[in-house]
Amino acid sequence: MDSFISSQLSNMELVMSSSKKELLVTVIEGYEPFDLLRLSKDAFFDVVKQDFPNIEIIDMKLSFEMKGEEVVIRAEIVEYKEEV
Amino acid sequence: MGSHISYKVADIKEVDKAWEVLQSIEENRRLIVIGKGVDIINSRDLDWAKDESASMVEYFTTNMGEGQFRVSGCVIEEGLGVEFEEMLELVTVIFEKLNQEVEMRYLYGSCAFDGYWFSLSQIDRITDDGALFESIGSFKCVA
Repeated sequence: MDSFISSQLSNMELVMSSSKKELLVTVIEGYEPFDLLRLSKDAFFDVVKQDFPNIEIIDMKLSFEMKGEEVVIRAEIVEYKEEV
Repeated sequence: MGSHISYKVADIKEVDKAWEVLQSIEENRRLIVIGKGVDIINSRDLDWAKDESASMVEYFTTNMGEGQFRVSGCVIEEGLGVEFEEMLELVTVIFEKLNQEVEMRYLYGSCAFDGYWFSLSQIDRITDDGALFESIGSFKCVA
């Protein structure tokens, strides 16, 4: 049990420390707002991870923004752990 | 930018009914499984967006009751389990069934109606021989 708690605390520290790291943001290329409705947010974790292969994404916020004449999906990773 | 059908409910009060009808159509459930279902922005999307970002709330509020189905994206994806021509027919049937339950409108200038993707016969079936066409001015989210 002690090692389990220790492990959890270790993970928490990693998560907490992530807030002090640089902001991780990407635009999800090739997808449109309606793709989000069809696929759900969960489907985009793997897509976004392709841009950040060395982290485990715990939570991210999606938003829409104009890119030229198109509306694109912007992903801001708000919680993550570095993969070892 | 792809080729889309842009559509909307004629009466915004019918949007949640339209979404429920879409979920109940067997042909649409086949497409939903492979991430290609016909969808429409409804109150559930707005509720979800409130926890996500202000930009999504604004987008969903502005475009409530509208939808787009992109046909050009279907061409490049492989292994969907549905052939492209079959997908076009499934989409046609879905809109035919939706039209029977909810009064819909289809953007006259939708790129997917240019004759390259859907046959003229399918376009007629989707739009009730053109009776459900509407001009661009009344649509918000136009690709």
